[in-house]
Amino acid sequence: MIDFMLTALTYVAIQSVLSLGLNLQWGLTGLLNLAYILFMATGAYFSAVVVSDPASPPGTEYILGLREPFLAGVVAGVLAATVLAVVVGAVALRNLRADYFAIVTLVIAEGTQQIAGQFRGLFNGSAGLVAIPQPLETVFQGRDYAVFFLLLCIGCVMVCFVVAEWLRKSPFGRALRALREDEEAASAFGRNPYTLKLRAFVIGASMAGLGGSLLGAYVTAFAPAGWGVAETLLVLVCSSSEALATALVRC
Amino acid sequence: MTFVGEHQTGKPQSTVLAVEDLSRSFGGVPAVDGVSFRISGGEIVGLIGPNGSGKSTTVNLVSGSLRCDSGRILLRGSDISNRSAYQVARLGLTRTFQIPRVWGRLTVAENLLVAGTDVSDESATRALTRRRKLRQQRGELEERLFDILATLNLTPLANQQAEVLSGGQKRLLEFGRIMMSGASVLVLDEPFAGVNPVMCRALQDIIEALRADGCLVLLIEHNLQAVEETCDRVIVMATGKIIAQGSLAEVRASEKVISAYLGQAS
Amino acid sequence: MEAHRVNVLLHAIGFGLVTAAIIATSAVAFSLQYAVTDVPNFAHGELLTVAAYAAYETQQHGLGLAIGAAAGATTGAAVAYLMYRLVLRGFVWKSSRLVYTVAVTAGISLIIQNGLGILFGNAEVTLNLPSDQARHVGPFLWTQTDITVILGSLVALATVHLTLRHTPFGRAQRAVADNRELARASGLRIERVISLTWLMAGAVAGLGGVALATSRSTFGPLLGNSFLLVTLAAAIVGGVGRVYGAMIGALTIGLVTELSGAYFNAGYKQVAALAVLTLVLLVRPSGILQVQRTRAEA
Repeated sequence: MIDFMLTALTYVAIQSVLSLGLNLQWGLTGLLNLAYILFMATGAYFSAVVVSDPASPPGTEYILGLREPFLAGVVAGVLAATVLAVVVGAVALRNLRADYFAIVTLVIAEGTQQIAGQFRGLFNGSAGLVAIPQPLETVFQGRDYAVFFLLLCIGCVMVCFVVAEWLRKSPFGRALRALREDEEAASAFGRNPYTLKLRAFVIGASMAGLGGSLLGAYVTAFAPAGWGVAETLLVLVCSSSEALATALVRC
Repeated sequence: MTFVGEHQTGKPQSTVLAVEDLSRSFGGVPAVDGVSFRISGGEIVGLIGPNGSGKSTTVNLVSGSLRCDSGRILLRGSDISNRSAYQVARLGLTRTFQIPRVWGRLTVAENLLVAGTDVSDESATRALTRRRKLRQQRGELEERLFDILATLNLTPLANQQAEVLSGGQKRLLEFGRIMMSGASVLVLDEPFAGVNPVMCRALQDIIEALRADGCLVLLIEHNLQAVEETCDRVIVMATGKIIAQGSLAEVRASEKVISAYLGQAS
Repeated sequence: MEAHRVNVLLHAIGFGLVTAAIIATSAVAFSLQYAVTDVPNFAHGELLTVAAYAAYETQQHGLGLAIGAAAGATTGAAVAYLMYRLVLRGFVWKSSRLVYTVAVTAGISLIIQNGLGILFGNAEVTLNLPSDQARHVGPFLWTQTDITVILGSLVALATVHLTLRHTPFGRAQRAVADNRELARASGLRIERVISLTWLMAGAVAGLGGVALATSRSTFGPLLGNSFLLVTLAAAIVGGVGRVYGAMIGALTIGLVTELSGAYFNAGYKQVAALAVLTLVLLVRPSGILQVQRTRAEA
C-alpha cells in the first residue's frame, strides 16, 4: 500500500511539473500547443542518452551515451527542450493566428514522433530507450529509493511552482494575460505579441523538458508510442484555467 | 497646456501626424485611394463619411493594424507606414476599437497597470531577479492608477474583472488605459457609439482633457452632433477618397458631401 | 551511369507527381472547408479513410473502381456533412474556443477509427487493382492506376476551381471565407453555404481517400490519419485556408518527399516534409500565398 502511494505520488509530482509548464503556455498565454508532449519527450530522451552507457549495436542504438551523472542529464534534457522550443516557436508563432499555431504544432508533433520512431540511430527507433540509469540507485535501496525519488520530484515541483507563480504575478505575466484576452488591444499598447508568446512558449517547454527528464528516469524507459497528440489534448482539456492550483489538483 | 493656448490663438502648429497619398485595396477593390491629410498637436479631427467610405481602413492603416499598398504615414517626421501596431504604439500612437476591447479576465486595475507598465519591465528574467524593484514600481503605478480611476468614477470597480463592466464603463476603462499609457496620438474608432447621452458627455470631457494635455485626436464618428461639439475640424471621405475638409459647417455646405450622403441614403 | 541517374530522378519526379495529386485533393478539401467554415478539422483524415472503405465495400460487391470512387466521394461528403450538422455546428456556434474544436474533431477522429476497426477489423484490407504494367508516359514511368489518379485529381481540382470562380455558390463561399459578417450583412445564407461547403469538401476528400487507397492497395483504419501529416503540411506550406496555395503546397511536399525518399531512404520523407515546412514558415510565416492581414487578431 505504501509502495503504491509512493508510486502514485511520484507520478502526480512529475505530472505537476508538466502541468505547470503547460499552464504557462495555455492557461496564461492562451497558446494551444499541440506539440507540448514533444518537449517532454525531448527532455526524456536527451537526459537518458546523457546518463546512459554507450549504445551497443545492433541490439540498441542511440546517440551520445556519455555515462554522465543524473544532474548533467537533467540539464541536458532541459536545455535540449529549450533549444527545440526556440526553433519550433520561431517557426510556429510568427504567424499570429491561434488556429494556425495549433495546426502547425500538430504537424510538428506528429512529424517528429514519426521521425523518432523511424530512425533507430537517434533514440533506438520505435522500440525506444530502456534501462535508463536512475540517480543514486546504488545509495538507496527499495522503499528508501522510492522516498528519495519522490522527494526529488517534489523539490522540482516546488521550484517550478515558485518560478511559475513569480512569473504569473509579474508585469511579464500580466502582459501575457492581456495578450491572451485581446491580442490586438495589447498591440495597441505596445506589446509585441510574437516575442511575448515566444518567451512564454520557451519557458513552458523547458519545464516540459524537466518533467520529461524525471519521467524517463523514474520509468527507466521511453518510447515514441508514449507521446501522441492525444496525450497533450488530454492534459489541455483538463487544465484550461490559469489558476496554478487547478493545474496541480487536476493530476 | 501650451498647445491649447497656441491653438486658440491660431498660431500655426507643427504637424505631428501626416498621411501622404495613402492607398490600400482589398482583392483589387480600392478601400482607401490616395488619401492625404495632416494633423497638428492638440487638434481634434473628426473623420466622417458614409458606410464603406474607407474611414475604418484609414484608421487601421494609421494605427498599423493593416499595411498600406502605397503612400506614407509620418509620425513626428518618422515613417511608420511599414511598422506593426505594437511598434507604432511604442512611438506614442494608440487606438480604440468600434466595440470596446478591454482585457476581460484582468481586473480593472490590472487593465490600467498593463497600459502603464514600461515594456522593458515585462521581461521574464526581471520577474525572477528584480522582484523588489518591480513591487516598488507597482506601488508607484497604483498611485497614478487610483487617481485615474477616481476621475473615471471607476474606483469601486477596481478589483472587478473587466468583462463584467457595462459597455460605457468599458469605454471609460479604455480611456483610462490611454491616460495611463501616456500616449499622445489617439485614434478613436467611433468612441460614442452605443453609449447613453450622459456617458457621451463624460467621454467628450475626457477627450477635451486629453487634448488639454497635448494629445492629438483623430476620431471616426457617425453622431454628427457629437462631432460638432468635439472636433475642431472634420475630414469627409467617400469611396476611399477625401472629398472635403474644414469645419463641420463648411463641409455641410459642400455639394460633394451632400451628394455622397444622399447617394448613401437612396 | 549518367542515364541511370536521370532515370532515377525522372522516376522519383513521376512518383512525386502521383503523390502530389493525392495530397492536393486532400489538402484542397481541408483548406476549402477551413477557409469557409473556420473550423480546423483534425478528423479530416477520417474522411479519406471512410471513402477508402466505401470503395473497398463496393468492390466486395463486385462493382468497378469507378463506382468505388463515386461511392467514396458520396460517403466522404455524407460523413463530413453529418459531422458538421450533428456535432460541430453546436460547438462552433456556441463557443468559438479553439480548444473545444480541436478536442471535438480529434474525438470524432478516434470514434471513426475505432468504428471502422469494429466494422471491418483492424487488420488491413486489400483493394483489388487491375494488374497493369508501368509504361512510359513522356519522360515518366506510370501505371494505368497512376494515370487515373492524376487525371481524377486534376478533374476534382478543376471542378473546385470552376465552382469557386464561376458559380454563384462559389462566389458566396469566397464571400463567407473573406468576411463572414459582411457576407451575412449582404444577405447571404451563411448557414447553408457552410453546410454545403462541408458536403463539397467531404466529396473532394473522399476522392482523395480512394486515390490514396489505390496507391497503397492495402490499408487499415489509420489510412487517413497517417496521411493527415502531409495534408496539413501541404496546406500550411501553401497558406492555411488558401485553396490554390494548397495545390502549390501539395506539389512542393509531394515532390520533395518522393525525391528525398528516392535519394536517401524512405525514412527521410518525414524529415524532408518537416524541413520544407520549417523553411517556408521561416521565410513566409503565412505560407507561400500570404494571407492578407485584414484582421490582426483571430
